[in-house]
Amino acid sequence: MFTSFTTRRVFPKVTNTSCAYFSKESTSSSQLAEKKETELQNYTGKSNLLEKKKVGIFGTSTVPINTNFPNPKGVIGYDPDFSVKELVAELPNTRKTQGAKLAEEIKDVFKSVSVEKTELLEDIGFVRHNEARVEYKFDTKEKLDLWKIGCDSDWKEGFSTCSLVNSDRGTAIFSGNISTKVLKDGRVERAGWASMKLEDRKAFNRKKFLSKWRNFSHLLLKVRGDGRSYKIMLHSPLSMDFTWGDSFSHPLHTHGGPYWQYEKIPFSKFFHTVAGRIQDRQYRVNLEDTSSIGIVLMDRIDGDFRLEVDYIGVYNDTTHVEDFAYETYTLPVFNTHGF
Amino acid sequence: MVLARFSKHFNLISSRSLSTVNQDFGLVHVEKQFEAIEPKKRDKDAFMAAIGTFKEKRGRTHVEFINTALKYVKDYGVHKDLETYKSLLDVFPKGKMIPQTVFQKVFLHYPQQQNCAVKVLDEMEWHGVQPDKEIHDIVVNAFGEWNFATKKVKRMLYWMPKLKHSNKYLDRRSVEGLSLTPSELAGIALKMMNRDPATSISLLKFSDSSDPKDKWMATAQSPSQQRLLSELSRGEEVFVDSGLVYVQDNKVPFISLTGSTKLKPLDEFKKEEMDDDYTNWFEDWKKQRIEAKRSYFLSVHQQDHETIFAVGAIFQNDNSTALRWIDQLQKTNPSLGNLQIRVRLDGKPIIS
Repeated sequence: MFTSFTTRRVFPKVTNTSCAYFSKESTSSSQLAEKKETELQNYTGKSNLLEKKKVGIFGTSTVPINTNFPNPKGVIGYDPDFSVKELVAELPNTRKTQGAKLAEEIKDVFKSVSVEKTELLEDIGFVRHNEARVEYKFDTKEKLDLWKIGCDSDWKEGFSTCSLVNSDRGTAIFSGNISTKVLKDGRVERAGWASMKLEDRKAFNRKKFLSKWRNFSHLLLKVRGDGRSYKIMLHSPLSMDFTWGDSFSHPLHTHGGPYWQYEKIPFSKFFHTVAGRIQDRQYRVNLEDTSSIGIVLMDRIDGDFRLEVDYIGVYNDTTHVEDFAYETYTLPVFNTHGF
Repeated sequence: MVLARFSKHFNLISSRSLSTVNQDFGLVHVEKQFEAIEPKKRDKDAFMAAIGTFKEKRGRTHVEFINTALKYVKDYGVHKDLETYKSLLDVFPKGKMIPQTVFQKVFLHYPQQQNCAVKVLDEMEWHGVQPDKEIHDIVVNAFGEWNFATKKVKRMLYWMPKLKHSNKYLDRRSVEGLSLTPSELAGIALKMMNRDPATSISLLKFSDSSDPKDKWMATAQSPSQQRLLSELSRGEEVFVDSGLVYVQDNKVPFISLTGSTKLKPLDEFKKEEMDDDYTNWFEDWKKQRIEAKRSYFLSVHQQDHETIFAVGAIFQNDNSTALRWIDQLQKTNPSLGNLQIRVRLDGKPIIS
């Protein structure tokens, strides 16, 4: 858990081991052929192409599970051992940044003690029709820094690129290039995705939930796209490992062109996905568990993309009484989820 | 030494005999079968013929064949064709792989074949091909009603039609499976982009018989945009810019005529205070009236950062063609002659 406290990234060995898959040594057979005969005679029967994986008591798993914590992102070859010296050196800095965050948090609590606060009333459930709350804007760099971007080339699993920058208008421009070209490493089967994801956390790395959105009926976005179809993902991972991939998704279609579009997506229309795959057992998104929101592009179309985002917020429509848009069947006892 | 020579000789013989076998009985690897056809002739018929010959032989290497065939779907241009996927899945024998006992039902019966079928279905889903009842029946006949591969096709049959028409801006029926000309695509793109229901979209084709190249230009403009354009004072600047929009997987370049917005953007949100304050009621009332008046005249074309006077598309994105488009636009907007027009098309087009 200490690793997450420090601002410094502790990934000393990751680059080495994960790159082993892509190094020349592992891919080109011609190099092997060039090896001298003497070397071949010394062949022990063990592969020297890849570094041997360390096997723990519970075996190795490529998916993040509770037992191979602290590796929340499931990075292959992640090394949790780092020197205490570095931790101590980093400590004053951590105290400063996280302390400031904590101070702000406490201040916020005292600010919202008043009963007359609209936000407090909203949290109780007094949300009127046509009421909206803008949660995330992109007009300053600090606000933009809450968003992390990623694409398949970051994981050495493809050739897509992406970037997220401020515009002069105080908006964020999420742009890049999608390439569905599959990397020939024998492991990757599909490629071509880019995403931006919110990483908004409270002091000392505590999770911030979007529970104050729960009384609103719609997600509200002001965007300007390029005609491609994006996807909104409401990530709701909890402490148990089988919930780590949980997210609720809905497509975000854009019309492109110079006009802005106000997209109101009802929360009732989000469907349950795990790692992007739609699940058999469906239920409504629970915003009390939702801690992050992401915009993803994976439309299998090669080419440049550009999505300008002005703000992300919530909107209430009291006429929208639908709880969940999809059928919730009672599954047979033997189903894909087990019992 | 002798032994080595002998073995070399032996190898030679064996390889020769193998090659003769190949010629006699057509024992060729499936990959070679697909490779043998030259790239120009690779089409649906050739692909179907390959499936047909495999079915005729009634071999047992279904999985190998399908896996290989799947590699070539894009090469043969059949990756968006439902019929191809149907005939690919039809390769699997009927009835043989349907689980009969409880254990067969619980565990993955014929795992190689089922995983292969799932792979075909996943490829289909990836390319956005909508499944139908027939493809479901094909899988059911091969693997049984509730097997793993069948579950996959059932899920697809349930979810894909649900999300098929979720895009309210573009009717996919007007694009999918049709070979559209650039001008037709431009028309669809203009319809998709325009937010004003009063917009009229027009297409102009040049009947220049000496030039074999199809020349056209499309314009989308609404009466309120014409009014906005006529309200501009003499010598004001307007800009012609290019952009790019996707109509499904077609890239459509477009151009837009824009100018700066003179009105300060309206606040999208009205901050409501819980405690009503009536001390400045007259000022508030006056402000409210002005806002109401403004919002009446404010059209969708007056965006926060620019006013959009017209959107169009031309057969080639360069400054000279854009000027011809402006000339055409001037016929309906005479005030355009008094304005300074800056055409900024040459160079790399930027999306929106």
